[in-house]
Amino acid sequence: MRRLLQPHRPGPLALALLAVAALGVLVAGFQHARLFHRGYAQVDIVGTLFILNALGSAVVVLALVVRRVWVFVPGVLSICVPSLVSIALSHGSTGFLGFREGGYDPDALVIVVAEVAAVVFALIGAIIARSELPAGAAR
Amino acid sequence: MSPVRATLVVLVALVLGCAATGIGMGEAPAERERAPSAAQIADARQRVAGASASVRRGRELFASEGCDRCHSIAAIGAGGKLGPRLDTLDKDADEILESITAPRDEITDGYPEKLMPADFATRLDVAELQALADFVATVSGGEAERGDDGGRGRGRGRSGGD
Repeated sequence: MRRLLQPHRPGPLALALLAVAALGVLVAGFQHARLFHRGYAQVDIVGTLFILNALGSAVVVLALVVRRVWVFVPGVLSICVPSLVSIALSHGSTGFLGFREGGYDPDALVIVVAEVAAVVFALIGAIIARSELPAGAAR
Repeated sequence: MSPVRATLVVLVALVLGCAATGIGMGEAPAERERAPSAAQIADARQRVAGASASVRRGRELFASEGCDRCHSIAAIGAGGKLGPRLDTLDKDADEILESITAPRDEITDGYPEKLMPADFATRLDVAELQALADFVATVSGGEAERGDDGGRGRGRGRSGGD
């Protein structure tokens, strides 16, 4: 566990993929913050989750900047996957925590594309970074 | 820390600061709308208190269907800002019914086109849709009463037997 919190310098390919993932998280977080201040703040619970998404995204990106790759990747997954699930639920007939939306406007599409890209690039980057570790170091 | 990494930290911190404070994030379109006066709010409360069973049912539906999460009606404490204010509308019940059942037909300037769910006509039956429209018309000071068909002959909404 302690080893996972140590700074880790991945190779150029893994770093590039993780940087793209970080960009996706940052864009999605920024959009969540923007929407929060443009009215979603008034929506019970969902509004709070929007601002938490934004703040969490920034913290996760900072983890990559300070080379905590094994904090960054789980962070991306724990922010983006629940966010994507809740977006899908809110666009369905059941809604998410009582909140429903009628369609994917450009703001929602930007978030979906950015978060899907973040998840995909973070996973691929993590796999490559792990393969670069010396034998036994990943355990 | 290298200059590149320091710059990245500053950039991310800036984004974090803007996200937390709202600087440069804009405002909800509903913030630009005129809010009703205290007297208008008191009038609206009186109208709702003395209203028909349909209007009272409409008020319940307004909350249970989540309308209050996106629309403001000061008289009942609804503070949603994602959609237009409904207590300063200048529409009668029939026009409001059209807006509920076909929300994409006419979008108020400055609001997202696809935000409002377009399935109320299939989720609610005709009487429920009419109750919702009556409630909004009543609270906004519009005309809640309808013609002889009671607004029920429009082919909108589920039939009562669904």
